[in-house]
Amino acid sequence: MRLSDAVPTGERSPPRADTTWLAKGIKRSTTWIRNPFRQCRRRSSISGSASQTSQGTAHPVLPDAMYLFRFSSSAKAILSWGKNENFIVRYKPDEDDGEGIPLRAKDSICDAAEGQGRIVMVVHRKGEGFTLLVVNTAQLDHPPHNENINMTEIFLGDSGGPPPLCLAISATSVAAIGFGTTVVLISLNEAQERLDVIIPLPPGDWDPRFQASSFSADGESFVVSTQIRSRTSASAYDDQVLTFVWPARGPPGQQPTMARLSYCQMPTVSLVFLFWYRCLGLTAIRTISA
Amino acid sequence: MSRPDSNQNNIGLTTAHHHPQSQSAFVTGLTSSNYNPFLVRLGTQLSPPFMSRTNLQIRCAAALNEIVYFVDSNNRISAADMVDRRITPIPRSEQVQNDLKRGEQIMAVGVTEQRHFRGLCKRGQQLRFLDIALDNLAEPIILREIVN
Repeated sequence: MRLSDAVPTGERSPPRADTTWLAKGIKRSTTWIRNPFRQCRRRSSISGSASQTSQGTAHPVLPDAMYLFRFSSSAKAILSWGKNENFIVRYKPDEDDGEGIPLRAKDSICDAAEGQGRIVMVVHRKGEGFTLLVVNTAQLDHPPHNENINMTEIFLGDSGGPPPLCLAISATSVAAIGFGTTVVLISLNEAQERLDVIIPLPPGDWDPRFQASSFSADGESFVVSTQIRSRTSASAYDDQVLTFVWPARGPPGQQPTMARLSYCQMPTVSLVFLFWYRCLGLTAIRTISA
Repeated sequence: MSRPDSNQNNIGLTTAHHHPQSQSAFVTGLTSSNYNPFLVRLGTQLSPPFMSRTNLQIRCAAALNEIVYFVDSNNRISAADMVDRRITPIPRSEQVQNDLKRGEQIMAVGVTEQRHFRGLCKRGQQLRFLDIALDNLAEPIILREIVN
């Protein structure tokens, strides 16, 4: 099965949600969505316009709809999705096999990543806000007979906030979602602890434009870099890139926990691990704005 | 892990990586301006990094320990050592550049634990998968079509 064959087709069955509310305000639910991919037939050609499967269901042409790509942390799989699309494709190059994962109709994917046996997606759900969807990849590699995908949902915030700019997963199963001035850290274990960290921007009215983040390979540290521009002057010269790093592990002998991270917020740690680098000039901004 | 990429070029900052042991970081951007991608702790003096014929219009990168592998706008694949602050092209990078078609771009990259550099190449609607064994030069480069 090729990547293009993995585009999900057919009708989604209504999701059955078992929703509970956690004490920390995290909406947690488990949703089963039927995966129509397993009923797909391989097409003889993926070129040209929409083609028909043997079931008579139209496929979109993949590259038009799917233009965002990201390797998993192990580089054994590639995630592909399109802005405002409500499905994602996971392609395994070693097996030349792809699989489509459908989401709810009102979901649109903002960002996605795979690591530590999980696919994590930040979606914007119309009328509700941003939600983190977590899929265990074991069920994709070894599908059960009922062909349903078990998906965990974690509510991140309402629609009024800024959109997510970056997403990272640590080796210790912590997801970091950057919303510009705030980074939300959520453990992907059962407890789903959450920590909102405020990035200490310099005085002024700044607009976060781009953001990138990653965990170190051992999960010992997290780095987040933010490109900001002043709202007041709106000059290209004002673009700055601020990079902060803080340790995600406690002292030797102590187990890293999310509680530990709550004592290592950026303003404190930035005294030790603050990087401040101005790297974009007028030429760059003109290119970016073009 | 690389940042998701798009066909759009209106991207500034693209990736950020950190090596805790050396307390250094590597930040990339898709920008034509000159910048120093190596960052160290505030207050530490920086000596000029060693960069071998590499432009810094970087769309995607992936880290394996202290090494960050990235692709510049010319599809040149390089390795940045966050400890030594050196940027050098990987072996056979030039061959990959020649194998890629005109207009084809590497849109996402990853590195396996077995030190295989992997990339997703896009040209129009065509997608190709790239695999390079970094340690075994005798192993052929894989450049396989995914979507034609």
